[in-house]
Amino acid sequence: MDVVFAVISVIASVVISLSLVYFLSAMGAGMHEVWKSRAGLGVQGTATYEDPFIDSPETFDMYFLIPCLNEEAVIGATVRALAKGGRSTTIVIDDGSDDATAAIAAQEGGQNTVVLSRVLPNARTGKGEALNDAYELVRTLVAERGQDPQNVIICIMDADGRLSDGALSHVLPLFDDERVGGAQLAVRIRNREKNFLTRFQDFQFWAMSAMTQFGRRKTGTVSLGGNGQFTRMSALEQLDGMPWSASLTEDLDLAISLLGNGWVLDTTPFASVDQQGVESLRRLIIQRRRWYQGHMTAGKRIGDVWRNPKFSNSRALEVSAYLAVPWLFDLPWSILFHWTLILTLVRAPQMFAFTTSSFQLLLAVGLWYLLTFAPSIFTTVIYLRRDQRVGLGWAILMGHAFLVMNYLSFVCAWGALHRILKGRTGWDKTARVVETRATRALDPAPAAV
Amino acid sequence: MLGVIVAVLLFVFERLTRQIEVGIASWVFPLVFAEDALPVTSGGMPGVAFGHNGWYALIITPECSIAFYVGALVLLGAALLLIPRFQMSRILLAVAVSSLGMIALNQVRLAALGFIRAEYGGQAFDWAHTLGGSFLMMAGLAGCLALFFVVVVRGGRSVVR
Repeated sequence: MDVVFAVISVIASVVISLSLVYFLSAMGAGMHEVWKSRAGLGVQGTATYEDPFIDSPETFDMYFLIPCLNEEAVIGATVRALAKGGRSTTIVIDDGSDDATAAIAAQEGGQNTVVLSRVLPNARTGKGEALNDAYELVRTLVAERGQDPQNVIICIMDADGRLSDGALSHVLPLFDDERVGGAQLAVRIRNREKNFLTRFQDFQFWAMSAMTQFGRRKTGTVSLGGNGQFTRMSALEQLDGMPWSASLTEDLDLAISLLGNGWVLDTTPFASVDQQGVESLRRLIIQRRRWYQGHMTAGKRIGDVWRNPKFSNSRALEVSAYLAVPWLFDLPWSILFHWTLILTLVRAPQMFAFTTSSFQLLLAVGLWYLLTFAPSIFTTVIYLRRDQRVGLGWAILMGHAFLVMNYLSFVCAWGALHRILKGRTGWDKTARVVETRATRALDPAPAAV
Repeated sequence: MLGVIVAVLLFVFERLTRQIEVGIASWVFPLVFAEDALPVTSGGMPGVAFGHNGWYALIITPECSIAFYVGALVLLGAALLLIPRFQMSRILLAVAVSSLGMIALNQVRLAALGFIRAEYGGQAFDWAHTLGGSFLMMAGLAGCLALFFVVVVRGGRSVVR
């Protein structure tokens, strides 16, 4: 029995240690990249999201693609913000909406906006299909206008996405490096003050994902997302077939394909994109389960990554580790977490039996907490530093929320595995909520220094 | 395949590996702090008895042993051997370096625990064993895994075996 306990404990230790190595190296690398950029962790913490074209060098022709399905609640403000570019075109892909999405987009977007209407039964066949349709239109427009695909940047935006002020003045110079094929911006959750769930999504995106994405600059393997995704058209033209796959995470698929062709994927700490967070637990589970399913399915490309000589060892290792996260960490951890939890509860009296006074017990529990919850304390500090307006209470709560929110990952990872095994690949679109101007202009006060 | 066999052997003969660890510890302890040390057995468990302000013994349970950690590193190396681009020599080096790191770390832990027991008493030992030892091993394992990947990744690329 002792041997069985020892083996399970070692497996738990290995899983925890591997995730620690990956998490700490990515976060450490991210902090170093921010420091190298001569920015503080709080850069963009107080950003506003109104005019991305401020100080834009206008060095590239821009095409913004916005896939929409019943987005009348949010599309107006999005196209209005993108209408100010001198060399930009916005393509709103109306994927068979039942509402006034197309009319609002045409009205608010002005002369630089094109509404591409997809009609059933050819509509609603997935985000990748919709983007590929728009890409065909981009090809036509680029040819008609005599533009050079090397100097054309395509940006995918969610219908509720807003780029930070002056975003293009930081994104476009990234593409001056001819090796850069794509870039992804850090995501901020706009309605983060709505409830615990939206705050937690903001914590995940702003304190953790953003930092690890900055870290990926070191290997040029920044992962692409569905909002604030920039790609160079000439890089997309080199791909076999159309850029966006039918996968549930077509953005991740595209990132791997671009990396496979030797392109560098980059990001910048000086720009970001904000979007609505999901406000209900049910919708959040559906959204995350879809992400997990796409991510887990993309795991089958790990073999291709290692066989492709264009991936250096470090790039291949980073991409593989990222792709393997649900398989290596989330699924095993859903079992091992309970093992360690039960063991801790069962052994707690024995663990602290050596203390002989209340003070000693407090000290021992305090030390145990500091060591066990060190990653939580670390992320608490990072979140607070990323945006001091968050407040210490929320930052502490978010840093420790993983104890409960672990279950969101467990439910979604196992749910995704179940769907993979059943061969179910349906796509549930994330619903939006209507925003007033007041709710968009959150946090008007400057951050405390 | 060889890696899997080695890992299985480490699992099957873990008691033997504990005896080897005890042998090393009884050599290390006198070098570090003890007047003398020798391998012992108590209730079927290998241990090290040592003299320092009296005589004491540390019993090495399976959970205190390094065998399963080394087994995990060997399995990891075996998995990486499936990737053609890695040189076998780099993987063997990575497994060797990280395993030696873990073995050395466990010896440091045992020596520190022995010293604390003899010098500061049972309560201090409990503090060090419960809080210090566990986290030292966790941090050490994380460090050794990082070292493992650095050694492997720094090797040549696209080497066909």
